[in-house]
Amino acid sequence: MTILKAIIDQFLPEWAGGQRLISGASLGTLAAQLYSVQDNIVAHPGGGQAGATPLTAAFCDVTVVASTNDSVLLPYAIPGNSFNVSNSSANGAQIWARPSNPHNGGTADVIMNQGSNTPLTNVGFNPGYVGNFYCTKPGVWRKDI
Amino acid sequence: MDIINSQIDKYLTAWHGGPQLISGDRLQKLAIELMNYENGIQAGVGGTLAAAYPLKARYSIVNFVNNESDSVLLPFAIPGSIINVANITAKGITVYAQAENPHNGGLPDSIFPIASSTGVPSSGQSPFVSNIYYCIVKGQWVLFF
Repeated sequence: MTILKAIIDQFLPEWAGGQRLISGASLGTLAAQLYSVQDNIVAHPGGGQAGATPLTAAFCDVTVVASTNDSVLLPYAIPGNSFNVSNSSANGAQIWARPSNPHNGGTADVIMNQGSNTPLTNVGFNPGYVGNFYCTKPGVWRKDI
Repeated sequence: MDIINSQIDKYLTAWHGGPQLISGDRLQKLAIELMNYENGIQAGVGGTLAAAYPLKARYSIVNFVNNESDSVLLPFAIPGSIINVANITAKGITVYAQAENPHNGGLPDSIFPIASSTGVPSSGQSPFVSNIYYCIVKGQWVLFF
């Protein structure tokens, strides 16, 4: 398994120097990381971390939260990573961090809420909210809302 | 002096037309601008513009604030720029805009707080709060959290 300290690390060895052929696949990966969209996300019924619907794109729209606190799961917290999440449903959702991050020694990821110094395994996400989650330290998501 | 209208302008002259060799350095620079991060920042002691720590990365974490209102300095406000600043300390910081922006005729940059039409030279950022600063108009940082 590739241990990434940062999302950017995968590109830097290849992208250096002067004029050269560039891998379309790695350029496509970069573009996807920046602009990919995951729409019509259905939060996991019943909530909780196990079974929570994984968020996989740069822009994620949760459209179905059948019951309050149905859940979705953030990607691994790797520095340089950033995600925008919207909750377009009429119910609040739970957003969970990963229980184990292979890019951070297998420890659990956490989420830091605005104005708080307490690491959390999950945060609530109100209906109609749009938030940005970003990572500058392995294993730690920070939430801007 | 290079007058930049937006962050992307410097790339557009080289990236056009059909299949061609691409500068690895230029592509790496783009990736770094989009995804680099800086951890372990200490805010400038004294809280003045002159003492403010210059932020350089897309994602910046302020880990050390000796005294309330110690300061950091935003980069030049160039359209297309966006930076996340997390203050993970128990003390507030002062975030300054540049006093003189060579990409905007040497005028001072300003920060526009949420829901305000008045630019200010500096803005406070509370303990354990992360903000997003983005620029759409030259010389103006818009604050979002």
